[in-house]
Amino acid sequence: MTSFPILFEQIVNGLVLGSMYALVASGLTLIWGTMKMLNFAHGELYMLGGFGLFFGVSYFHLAPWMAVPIVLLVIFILAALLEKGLISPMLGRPDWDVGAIVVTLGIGIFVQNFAFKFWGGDFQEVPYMISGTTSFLNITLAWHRIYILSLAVIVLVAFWQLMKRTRFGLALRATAQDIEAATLMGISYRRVYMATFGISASLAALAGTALAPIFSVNPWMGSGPLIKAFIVVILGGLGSFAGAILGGFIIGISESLSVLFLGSGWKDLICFALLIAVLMIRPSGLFGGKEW
Amino acid sequence: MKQRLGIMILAVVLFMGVSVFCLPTQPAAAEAPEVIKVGIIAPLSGPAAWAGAAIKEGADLLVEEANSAGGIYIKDYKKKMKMEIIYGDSQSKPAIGVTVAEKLITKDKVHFLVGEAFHSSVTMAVMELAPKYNIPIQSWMPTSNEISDKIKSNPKKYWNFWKGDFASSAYGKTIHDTYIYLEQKGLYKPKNKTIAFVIEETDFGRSNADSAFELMQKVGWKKVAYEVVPIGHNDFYPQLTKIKSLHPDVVVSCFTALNSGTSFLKQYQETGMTSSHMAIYYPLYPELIKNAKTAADYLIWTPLLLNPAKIEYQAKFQERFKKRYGKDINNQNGAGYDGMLGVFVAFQQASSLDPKKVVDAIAKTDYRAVLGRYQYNLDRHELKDGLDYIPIPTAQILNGKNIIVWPTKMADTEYQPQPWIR
Amino acid sequence: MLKINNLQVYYGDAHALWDINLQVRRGEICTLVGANGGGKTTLLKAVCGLLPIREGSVLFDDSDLLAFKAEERVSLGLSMCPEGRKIFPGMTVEENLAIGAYTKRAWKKRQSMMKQFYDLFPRLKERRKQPGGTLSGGERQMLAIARALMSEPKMLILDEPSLGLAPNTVESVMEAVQKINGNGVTILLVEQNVNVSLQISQRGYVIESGRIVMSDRSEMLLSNPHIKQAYLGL
Repeated sequence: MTSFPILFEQIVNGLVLGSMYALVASGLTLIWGTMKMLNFAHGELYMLGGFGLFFGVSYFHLAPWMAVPIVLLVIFILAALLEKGLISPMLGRPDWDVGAIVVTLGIGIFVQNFAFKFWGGDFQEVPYMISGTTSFLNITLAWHRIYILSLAVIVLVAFWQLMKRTRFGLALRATAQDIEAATLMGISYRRVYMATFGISASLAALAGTALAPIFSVNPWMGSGPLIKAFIVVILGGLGSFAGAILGGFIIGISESLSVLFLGSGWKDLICFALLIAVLMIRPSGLFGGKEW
Repeated sequence: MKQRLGIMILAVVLFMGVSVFCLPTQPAAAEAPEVIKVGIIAPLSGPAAWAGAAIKEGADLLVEEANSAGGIYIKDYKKKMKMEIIYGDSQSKPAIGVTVAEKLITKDKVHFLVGEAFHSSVTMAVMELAPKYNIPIQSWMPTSNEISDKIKSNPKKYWNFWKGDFASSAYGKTIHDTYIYLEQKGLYKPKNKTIAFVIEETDFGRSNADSAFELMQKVGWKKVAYEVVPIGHNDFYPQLTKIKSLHPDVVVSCFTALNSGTSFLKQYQETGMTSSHMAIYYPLYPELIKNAKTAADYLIWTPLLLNPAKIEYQAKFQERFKKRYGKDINNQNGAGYDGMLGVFVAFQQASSLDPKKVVDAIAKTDYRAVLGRYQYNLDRHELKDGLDYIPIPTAQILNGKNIIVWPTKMADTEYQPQPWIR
Repeated sequence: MLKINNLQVYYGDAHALWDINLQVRRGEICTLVGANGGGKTTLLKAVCGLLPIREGSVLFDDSDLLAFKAEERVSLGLSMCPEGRKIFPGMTVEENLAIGAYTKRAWKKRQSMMKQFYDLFPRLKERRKQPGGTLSGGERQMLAIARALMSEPKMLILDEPSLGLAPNTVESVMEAVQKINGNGVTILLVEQNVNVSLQISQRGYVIESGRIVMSDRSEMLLSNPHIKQAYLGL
């Protein structure tokens, strides 16, 4: 019933979708891996990225490729300040992990309502980064989707290199693996946490800018991707970067294939079934428990 | 750690649930109430929060207008009373809707409950409270036929529950009638009489698609795809790729979320679809054309409920609304305003806060408002639709403008063939 | 080089260390011995800033250590090789060494430093692409020492380097310690293995139940009847 070209096209759709998930999930897993904390405001940071691009393009009339780096920088600084002001004071207290979760939840609710109050609840449109479509091998794709796929690949590879090769990347991994030993190396874990939160937020915001043209911008746009990102990181293994990427692609492809073979209504069911199956075989996820 | 995490996530979920109870509450009502309290349950947060917010704008505007005109004379207390709305947030979830309803009834002691203002699913749950609490309860925008089927099967039980919208079969009927009309006029010719649906995961989406297909099936159409996506869904490439491979004659899409509609139209063009496309509901948003741009051109859709350029009542409403909120009206604004006007009219006619008298007044409702003339079908407790009541025409987007193409009595132009059909 | 005066340390409300006075002189190997739970590690954590100090002072090279945060003490030239090695398990040997040179000054020289330690510990060179978590106990200890030296410290504190190692491995670790000392690094060696550590050091302190109970030249301690009885089992 299903011919090969359709299957191939559907896998490409899944790859694009998966790269979106991987981008959102990577920031989430980075925070867990380093700070051992869940960030429930991640979806709102993603939303701020979308709004940032929207304001940059519609109000400041910037070209999208100029607006994106500015948005990322602003979000990085904002998130680092949030970490310093609200999350850092929770560190080191007994039960700080729960405390920090509640703080991020509070930040999320605040940002969402702030956006609603001051920017309104309407759906705002953002233009595609690259307009038009292209055809290859019988597949028609919007250029913007190719942009998303390549952006995700480039960013994730660049991030990987950052973690492997730079002084900061090593410090971040050392902190993630053993705070006390990292301190003895002369690393200030508080500064690493600040930067980690900032980078994670920038990754979320980058995903927000990339997806805004498809998903529309509004104060609640973050909740859907956040839930997906949680599924992805739990599937891939909390705290594992490779797991977030692989998990993103697995979820994306299985979603698009279940639409093809079973129908859209089965999509989420298949995702959860997959998640449960993986957790039954590997309770900590595909790459869970591995240090990076 | 794993177990800990589980507890944390549970705590978060509980926290989100509990926050419902933290909405501002009113002290218990005294013997002679100060104001007429109307409770409105709407999705004020979550995926449909935009709809709740828009309904709220419409309802608030009516209350402001009615109160500044002095309020409603209530014979029981021999005084004019103002209306006050107490909102409850259902978060689009039936269980939360019921909790909020109970709170509005027992704690805030509202005299009238709107439950729910937007979702059929929440309404189905809230309407079960009708026999327990003898106050008038009304839904506003939900259209699912199951609501009125329940009422019809047990009118005594649901005597105080009224569905303030027309039957969901109305849209399906328009789809059927439109395609029959196009075929008869030779404006469109299906090859295999196959149809595919891409609809939102709501009772609204399903009942529209089901009632449309039920009618189409009778004239020999076959269903080749039935794709249900979550509310607010945005990436339709997997669905479109699949549907394209099935070559249906007609694709029918139905979403209540504007962003879903925008994405669907854009991606429909991007993926090079070749089927005729008719949409339900989402082109009602004036922003759709602005957001989807040329991807919206040639789309046929129903129902064009708002047409301020042609309908004087709507033009006036538009003017007042713009003055108050600084933006154009949308369908939810109209529904909120009309619904609240219905509440106002019911209390005015009853001139009493007695539930029995208010419900009697609802049954006799007959008023003109933004979307049309409001009158109830008494055995189903739902609004009448049709040319004389609330008309449900088909429009086509041509050069960025909505123009009615069916029924011929209302039509301003003839249907233009969709250029992508092959 | 390191001067600890009247130090009091608490774990929460529990008094853990009383009136600690200890000195390490430039260029020597100084030993701190004591039984498990005697307060050795507590003292080191306090010196490195991992535990707060309530009273007393710690001077390093005449600067007041208490004025510096834990991570800033490394750039003063004080490096610690912690108990249990604390190798970063997910990082390769090479990465572990590189992060040892985290301080700005050391980072630039990390390649040449690394070469130097590969010469000192050829085993590490063989395993340089292997994750730290896969090394044997002796290899981990050598890596931990090399990592601590990557910051080019003036003084190195070694916490229980012989713990859990086979006797001949202990010997080669101690040889390495002497070699490092020969290169001009002052060493404070903290050990349970009293015999071995007093043999390579010039002076020693004995800590028991949170108090320094004895201090003397190493050979005097080795012949002390109390030490002989309590620690050497003679």
